[in-house]
This record gives sequence, structure tokens and C-alpha cells, in this order.
Amino acid sequence: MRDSVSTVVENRDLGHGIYLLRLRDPELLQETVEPGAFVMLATAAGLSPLVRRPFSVQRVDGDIYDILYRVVGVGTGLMAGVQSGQQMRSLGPLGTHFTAPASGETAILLGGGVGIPPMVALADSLEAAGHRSWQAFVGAGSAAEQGCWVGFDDRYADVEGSERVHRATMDGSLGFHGHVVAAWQNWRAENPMPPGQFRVYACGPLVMLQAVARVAADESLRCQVSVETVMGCGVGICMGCVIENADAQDPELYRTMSPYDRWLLACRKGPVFDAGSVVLEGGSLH
Amino acid sequence: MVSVSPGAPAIQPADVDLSVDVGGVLMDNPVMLASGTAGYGPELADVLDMAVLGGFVTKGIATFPWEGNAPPRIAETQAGMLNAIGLQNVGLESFLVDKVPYLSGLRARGVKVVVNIIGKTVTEYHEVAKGLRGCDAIDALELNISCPNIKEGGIAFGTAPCAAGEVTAATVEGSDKPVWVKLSPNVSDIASMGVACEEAGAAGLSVINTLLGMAIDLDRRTPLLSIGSGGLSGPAIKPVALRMVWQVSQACSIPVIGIGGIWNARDALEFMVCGADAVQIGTANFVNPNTAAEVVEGMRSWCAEHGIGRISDLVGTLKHG
Repeated sequence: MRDSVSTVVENRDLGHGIYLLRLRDPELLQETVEPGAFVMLATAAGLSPLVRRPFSVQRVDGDIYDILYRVVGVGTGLMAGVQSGQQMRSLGPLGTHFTAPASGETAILLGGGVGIPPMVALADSLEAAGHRSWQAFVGAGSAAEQGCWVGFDDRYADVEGSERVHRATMDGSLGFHGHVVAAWQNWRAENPMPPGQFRVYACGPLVMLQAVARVAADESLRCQVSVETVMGCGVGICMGCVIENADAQDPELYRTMSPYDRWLLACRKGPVFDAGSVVLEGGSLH
Repeated sequence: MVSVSPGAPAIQPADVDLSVDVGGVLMDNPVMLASGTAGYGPELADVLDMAVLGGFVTKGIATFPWEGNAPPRIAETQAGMLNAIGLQNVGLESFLVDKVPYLSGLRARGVKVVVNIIGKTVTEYHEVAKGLRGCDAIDALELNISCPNIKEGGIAFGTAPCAAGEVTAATVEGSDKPVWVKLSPNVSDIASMGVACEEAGAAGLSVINTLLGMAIDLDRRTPLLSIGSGGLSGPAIKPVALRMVWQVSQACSIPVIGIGGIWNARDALEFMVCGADAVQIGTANFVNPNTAAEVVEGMRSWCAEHGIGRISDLVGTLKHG
């Protein structure tokens, strides 16, 4: 973890409120950024917004790292206006990361909207390790939001041989008509694979993670998800970003576990969790 | 830029004596990290040189582990933030086994260690204090009678002078360490709270904890925090904190520790001028984990520029009336 300052290299408008922010930060990048790791970025120099915002690292290229964001509030609204050369306080890399698949396994990468970046990071990491057996399913609301998968387009659009990046839109304006999990299930019907030969990785809206986790639970699949919660510090001191430990839903386990372990810090114990280890249903996440 | 006082002797920043005596706890400098904003110590060690601290105050500890509140637990507001963590803590036993070793090391590096304690009954406060007896990694206890985010205990003791006195006395009786009491700002007369704690044997007063507040989602018409309201912290509360430090320091003779929205050295020095013997940095740790180090350096520079060779000479020097 480094407390550093990143310099904006590019803040590319991808349309529909989606931006690719490229930042130079040799100090922060002295540490290895594992796939799934995130950084906290100060979106303003003053007191509003007060706390830094968490962003998954999409790609590292030399001393530059990329993040993808959508303008949703005050902080990201300010970010949309940052220019090349501007500086932003950064803290990272932070959090847990995805566990690599075994050598014979296919990695199934499921990404929804601005939850796609950690899937890009994982694809890059697998490629770097020579693990070419992965399939990515990426989704957005419509073709207008296809900037969300720029990380895949930039590097994996024209890989010769079989297509490994599958696109889906909710309105059917591009690629598969429907959500990402349906696109994956549709692909599976034509490409059956025994459960022991693949692993699932997912990041995206809560409804998407819930759908993935249900499939994983029903079929006893190995599955990791990256969750998003309201985060204050990113390092485990504000204790704001918790998600419920699945053990707490089991009356017997709940009786014997430490009450301290009911709520897990998403910044320290996550953001990457085994899908069955946290409670994604039930509304405690907003 | 601050101007150099005319005629002030030339003092180098390195020569400024930042040491303070907080009710028998001798600190290298007046800067501590506040309870609940720095974990149990190791969390910030990657990005803050912990040895620069005068003191460190732990996350609150209860007799047994507490699970805290459901999320959402935090919400941002203008120049501040609300929290409703609910004192999630590892409990006394785990604290002694898992957390004290790091704190011992910190103490060996010259940082005073203060353990914040919490309870739901007078007996529970007493029990935690007793459980920490003999632990030589600890310099003082800080009694949290002011957390607004739990249903029972905490603030219930912090809003009535007689209850505050009772829980203070029980803790002092159970402990072999100086006991500081962290006061709630959610009272009509904070000075009387301070007086009650002093009379019950408190060795210091930490002023203030968070202010009760609320934020809502207008479109959904729901609170942003799971339990409805929470504690407001950050620069937004500094004027309230400064006023209360001044009032308490006027009314009490034991040391006051100033807390509330300290963002830089000037903020911290303002608290000292208003009567604080030391200060604690809280919410700023979330935003800039290096704040405490910057405050210590900034204090040196300011004192040197103003010809103040010993920071303790600054305490309570507000010119008023």
C-alpha cells in the first residue's frame, strides 16, 4: 500500500457518462497490482467530497494504470473534468485479489458495466502467465455504453482463433440480447464443460452478482465475486464498508462465531470474496 | 503564510519542545490518533510512520466482541461524514492476545498507548478496566461514554452528569491506569459533564465525540444510514468542538484533549490555544493517512516562527474578555 500522487495521462470520454482514466504513478506501481485490487482516489483537493473513492484497477502498463468510471455523483462528476497533467492523491494497491485458475481450468470472466475492469485485469494477468483458456462475458445496458468493455476491445478484440470476448446488451442493440449471466448460460449450452474444468469470476451490479452466486451455489461451482460497498478509507480503519459473512446466516455457526466476524470489511477481507462466503441477497447491501 | 512575531527570538523548528504532560502521561508531542479512526494500530503502519505520534488511541474495547450495525454505516456530508459503525470490536480477550503485541512495540518506540473502553452497563466498564490491569503496554484508558450509535450504554452515560460520574468512578476503581473520559457534544452543558467526571476521578477529558446527525436520500425518502441517524465528524464540526474544549477547559482543572475536525497543524494549534493539552486526529486519517505526521511538523514550524520554544506554553492562551 502506498500513499501517493497520480498524474492524469488521459481522461478519455467513452460516451454515456463513461470514462477511461489513465494515471501515471511510479510510486504506487512499485507494488504489484494483483487482479481485483483497487485504489482510493481523491476526486477533489478540498473538503467536498471529503473521502477518497475506490476504483478497481483495470490495467497496468509500465508506470501507468487505468481505471474506468461512470459519472454517478459529485466525485465522479468532478473527475469527468480532470485534464491531462492534473494530479490526484492516490492510495493503493488495496484489497484482496482473484485466485488464479488451475492450469487445466478455463476461467469464465463475467463483467457488468463499470464492473468490467477487474475482469480485464484478470484476463491480462492470465495472458501474462500464459494461461490462454479464458472466456469473457461482458454486458451493458445498450450499445451506447460499450465503452465499458474498452479494456477488452483494446487488447483482445482481434485475437486470432476463437473469439473469447462475448458481448451482451440488455436492449439487444449489440451482441447477445439479455444480461451477462444469460449470455454465459447460453454459451454453456453450446460449449458444455464439466464443473471441475472451469472457475467463475464476476464483478458488476448487485443483481448480477446475485444471479451468478445462485448459479454457482446450485452447481457447486468455484466462484469469486468482487463486491462494491460504500467505502470511506479503503484500509480498514473507518469500518464502514462491511458486507455480511455468510456464516452468520447459519444459526449454528452464528452461535459459535465471534460477533466481530459477522460483518466483514470489504476493503480488507475483500473486495474479492468466494461467492458463497458473503451474503449478497437480503438487502443489507445498497 | 504566518508572520514572524516581532522581536521573537530565533528558534529552529527542530529545537521546539513539543512534549506535553497529559495528566501524568508524558508524550513526545501532543498528537494522537483518535479512537475508531485508526483501528488497533497496524492498519495505518504502511502509510504513516507511527513513531511520529505522541499517542495512539485504540478502537473501543468491550468485555466481549460486538458485531456492530448493519450497513450502510457511513455517509458523506458537506465537509464531514456520518458514521454508525456501532462499535464493532474484537472484545477484551482477543484484544489482549492479538492486538497488544503490536501496541507494546509501538510503546517501545515512544508512542503512548491509550485504550478506549466501552460497555453497556457500569459493571461492563468496570470489567474491561479490570481486565486491562497490569497490562504494561497501556498508558491510559479512555472511557467512551459518548457513542451515539448503540442502543444502550455509551451515550446513555454521557448525557447525564450523575451517570457519567458513576461510570467514571467505577472505571477508575477497576483500573490501575489514568482514566480519561471522552465527552459527548450532544448535551446542553458540556462543562457540567466534565466537572462530574473530574470529581469522580477522571485524569483527563477528551472533547468531543461525534455530533448526532442525519442524511437522507431524497428520491427514495430513506435515511442513508441503516439505523437512521449517526455521528457527524470532520471539519464541519470543528467550531463546535473548539467551543466545547474552551468551555470544558475553563470549568475543569484536569487536562483536556481536543478532538473534532482537525485537518492540519493550524487546526490542532487552535485547540491548544483554546485549552487543549493535546489533540487527536480522527476523520482526517481516512482522507490523508499522513495527517498526523504533517500536523507534528506543522506545529514545529508554527511554534518556531512565532518564537514559542515549548508548545505547552501555548495551552489555554486564548485572549478573551
